[in-house]
Amino acid sequence: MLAHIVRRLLQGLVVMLAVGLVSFSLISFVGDPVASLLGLDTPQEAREELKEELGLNDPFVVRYGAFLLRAAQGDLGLSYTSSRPVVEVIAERLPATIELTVVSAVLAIVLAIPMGVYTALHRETWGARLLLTASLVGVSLPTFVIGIMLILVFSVSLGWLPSFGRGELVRIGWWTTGLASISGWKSILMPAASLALVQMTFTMRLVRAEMLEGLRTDYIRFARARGLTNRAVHFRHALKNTLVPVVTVIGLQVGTLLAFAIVTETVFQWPGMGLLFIQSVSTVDVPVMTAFLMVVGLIFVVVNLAVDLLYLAIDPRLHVTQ
Amino acid sequence: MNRKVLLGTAAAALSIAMGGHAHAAKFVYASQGDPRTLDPHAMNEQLTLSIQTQIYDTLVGRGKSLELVPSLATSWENVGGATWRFTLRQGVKFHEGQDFTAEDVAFSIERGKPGSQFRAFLAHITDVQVVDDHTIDVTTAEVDPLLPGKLSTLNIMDRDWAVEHDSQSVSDIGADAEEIHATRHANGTGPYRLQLREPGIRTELVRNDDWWGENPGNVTEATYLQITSAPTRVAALLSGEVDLIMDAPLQDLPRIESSPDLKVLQGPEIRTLLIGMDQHREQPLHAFDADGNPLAANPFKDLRVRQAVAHAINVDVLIDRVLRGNGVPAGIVSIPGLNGYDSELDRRPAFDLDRARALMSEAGWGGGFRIGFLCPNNRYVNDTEVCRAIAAQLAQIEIEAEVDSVPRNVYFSRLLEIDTSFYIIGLTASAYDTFDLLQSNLMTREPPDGQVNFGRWSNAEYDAAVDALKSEIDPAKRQDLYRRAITLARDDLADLRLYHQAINWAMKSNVDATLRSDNFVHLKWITVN
Amino acid sequence: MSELASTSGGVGPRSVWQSDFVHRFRTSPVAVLSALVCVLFFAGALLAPWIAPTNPYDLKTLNLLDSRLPPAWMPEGDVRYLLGTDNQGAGVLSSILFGARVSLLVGFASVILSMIIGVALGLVSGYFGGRTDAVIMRMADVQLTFPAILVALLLGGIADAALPEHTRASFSILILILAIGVSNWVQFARTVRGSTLVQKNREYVLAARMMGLSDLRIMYRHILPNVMGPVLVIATIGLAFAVITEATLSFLGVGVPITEPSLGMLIRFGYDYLFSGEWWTVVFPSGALVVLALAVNLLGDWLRDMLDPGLR
Repeated sequence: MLAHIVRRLLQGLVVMLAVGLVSFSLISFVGDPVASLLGLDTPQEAREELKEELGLNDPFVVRYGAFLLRAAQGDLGLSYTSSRPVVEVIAERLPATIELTVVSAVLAIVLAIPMGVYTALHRETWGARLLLTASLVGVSLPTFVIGIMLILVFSVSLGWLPSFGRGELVRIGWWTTGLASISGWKSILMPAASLALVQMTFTMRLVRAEMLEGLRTDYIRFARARGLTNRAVHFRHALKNTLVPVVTVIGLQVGTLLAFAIVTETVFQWPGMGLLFIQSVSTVDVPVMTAFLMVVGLIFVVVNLAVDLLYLAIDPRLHVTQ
Repeated sequence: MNRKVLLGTAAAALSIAMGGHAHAAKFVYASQGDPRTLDPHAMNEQLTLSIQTQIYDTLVGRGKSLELVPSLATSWENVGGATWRFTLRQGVKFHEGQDFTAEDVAFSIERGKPGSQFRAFLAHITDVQVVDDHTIDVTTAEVDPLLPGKLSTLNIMDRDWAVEHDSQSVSDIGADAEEIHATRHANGTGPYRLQLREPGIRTELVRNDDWWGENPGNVTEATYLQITSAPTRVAALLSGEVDLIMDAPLQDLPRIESSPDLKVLQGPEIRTLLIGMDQHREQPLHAFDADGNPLAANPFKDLRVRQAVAHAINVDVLIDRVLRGNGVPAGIVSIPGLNGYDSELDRRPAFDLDRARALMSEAGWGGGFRIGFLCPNNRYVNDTEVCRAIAAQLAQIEIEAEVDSVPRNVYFSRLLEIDTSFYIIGLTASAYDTFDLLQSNLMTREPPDGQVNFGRWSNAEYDAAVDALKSEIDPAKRQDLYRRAITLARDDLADLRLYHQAINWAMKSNVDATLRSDNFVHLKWITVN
Repeated sequence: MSELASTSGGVGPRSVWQSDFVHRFRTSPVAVLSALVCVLFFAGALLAPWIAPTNPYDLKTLNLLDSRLPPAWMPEGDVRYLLGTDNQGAGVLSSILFGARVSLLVGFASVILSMIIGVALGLVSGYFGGRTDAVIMRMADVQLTFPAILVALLLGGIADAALPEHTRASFSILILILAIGVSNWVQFARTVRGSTLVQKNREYVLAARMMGLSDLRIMYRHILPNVMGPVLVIATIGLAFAVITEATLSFLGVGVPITEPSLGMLIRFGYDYLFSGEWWTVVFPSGALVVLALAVNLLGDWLRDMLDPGLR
């Protein structure tokens, strides 16, 4: 058990190193930050000076080495555009993204599990079919279109919800939360819903498939034979068994969720990491881009570790196999 | 929440006590970008400066039509040779209480000089002499008649404050650099004080009731927000969450205008869009004939081809359809509102396809050619759409312009490497004088001369006229030189001027704003009724 | 519907279903309808140059004076442009037909790419197990950290900086295919690995091993046909996903060249016109995309139900 955790931690470290190398090397080719930093009327010598100052003239290995050395000390450099430490900039934006993704994941799970169970149990009914088809519409439209349509209806036409931002924030240490105020909850509703849609469709289908699978197993047949009620069979046994794959998939979807958050955050001007990332892409703010990818990698590793541990908790059989 | 209410009341009480503005108002405005820093000498970028100028004052100010007006300097005069003397305003205090003196001006000029983005305006300053607390002499390498105008871009910082907070020099951004205090904090003499700064999100300002000037507006608290996505920005205005957006998308203007609660304020911007054509290379880049072979000769070296391009583009339809009327046709290297602009000279070749085709045949290019057309996709108003429409018009004379639409950073780096022989660009006069354009746009390329002359047109007579302008003080002689340079460039079609871009501010009907063609929202000129 | 037919063929030992399969297809209205929609889209996309009323790529035919016309049935509409025109004067209907062509090209090519990578890695991983398996699965983890959106943003950036101008347009589609294709192999690999783990202990595989057949041959000839069912289901849904991803990427600024827009690019343009009165530039392309993605997804769903014997 402990050995297993240590092994996963080491694997996580390797993954982080790989992510670091990939993001750093890809980003070194992204474009010339000097061109976006200085206006067109800046003289050439000023450009050369800045290039030297940013270390852009050093060979790749030197830059990667320096980057790793500093990254290990928690220093990811200064943002080119805002002249502020990247770690600080990311830390400022982290709460917004975490709150958005967590609320949307919870929203997706809370809605998807009952829908998945319903469509599995009442497989041939019109209601189930309608639900299955309707859920597909959610993944058949790009997130940004769904987002702006929500704004059109709920902000512009009805005037119920704010069209952008996080609403009123409460500061707890370095963390800022919008979940402590009504305006914060109003603000998060639309972004979280549009982000949840994709997850919801996948999760619901997964729950349905796993339920159907589960209901066929001998274990369930046996439970039925023992005379347990349908209700008990469905929820105590079949549903419980579906949770393992569902938890896994949700863990694996973290990367996708964060990637789609870039789109959602852009549409709703949600001040999170995704918005920061897309802005830094357009200004070629290399330190911010690298840091974003590193943080996404870290979140991914941590969530997967948590999923691993959760596994052990949900499914005792794994103790033996590991 | 309560805190804000109290603050508002306090400010209102104060203003009534002072017999000032009608009633206190909060004001929220937004655009797609965010000021990159509050350090007044770090970035020469429009939006960044437009926020900083609320907090900081410049030595020389600009009025509602960009004319030079007294600001921290009450007067200035050329005291012979290359020296200008500035007399400074007395009794001015910085927001944190320090007195404003000549030392602060000297400090700001020195701070702005090395490595900053303002060096183009300051690099030639050789000496700054503090005569007394409120008089300062600035000497340049050569006589510079435009120095006061150039100093109208330089915000004045308090020396002691900068020293106290380790912000003596502009922030580095290299590997070993650290953030300096002035990046997120500000202490100016301006009409508004910084209340809160959340980079990339919001900037909150409060009225400075101790400002030395008169603030006729009634905005006591202002919030600037960045809203990147255009539809979201419009939605925020439509739903009443913001009072004004600085960059309303053209297609949404009719809808905004049709709403009884909203209105649009339009005006010309100091920015001309033009097409640059390579007149330097023997073989143009990214150019091919009908068989796909690289072109053997450079068609743009032939005046007739440049004329053909000019006659083939219907600027009126372009402005009407793609810009929905938001533009003014342009013909010369100057912009209405700039010193040196002459409307009599401002003529452009008429739209005439037959003439264009005839010119192409005459020049031996009747079969046409294919050429890469460099175009940004997030820099100018509807930039990509303008480029596509131009490409469609040029197709009529067998010039197949392949629109290469790229983000602004890629666009800028390609321009700077002159990795293009055919491009669109929008130019502005950074010190608001036609001279800026004449020098940077079309002088033979030897930066800073011809800094943005990426087509590398070169004309000795033109260069001589602009060189003479650099040190000519006499206004009448200057006008002659302006005319000569403008006419030379126009008649040789050094580049193809298209139109002057327009600014569109969309706002609530109860907002009175003054639109200045530098696209700065000046809070002191905002009244919320 | 040749791919459906070959699906049932590929299931190998279960090919007795063949007639049953066709019967079930014919009696399922959803399957027939979505198949029909797919066929219509594929045909429309393939034949776009011949059936589209105008060619939006031919700049000479564009006239700014025809720009922003509403659909033909509206007061200011023009019969030449059934669904109206955009602000360049290109017909929306023709743009959709040509756009679907690009979208489907990107969709198919990227799915085939992910399928090849995923199936190969999944087979190897499941068949050999041990350290090989561990390495491949860790690779999958790293890959999941980099979803298609991030990969494409990075690849797009590199290409913009590295490629000469006139070749960039042709490369941008390749980059999209590469980014989407490379990012989506994991699901294929995991599924194939799972099925391979089951199959490799079956009698027929053990028998083949005893006969001394090479590993490669066993994987290709014996295991592969038996894991193709679920692979095709993933591929179908992957196609819809790829088309949507391409649209999302256009929104983020990495996409096909604007001169030859895909469906996604059309929507991205239309997005800016949502509040203006010119709804037709966004509603029709979005509608087309939804119908296409929905049809493909529904077909995938139906296929999944068919291929999973337990669900029958």
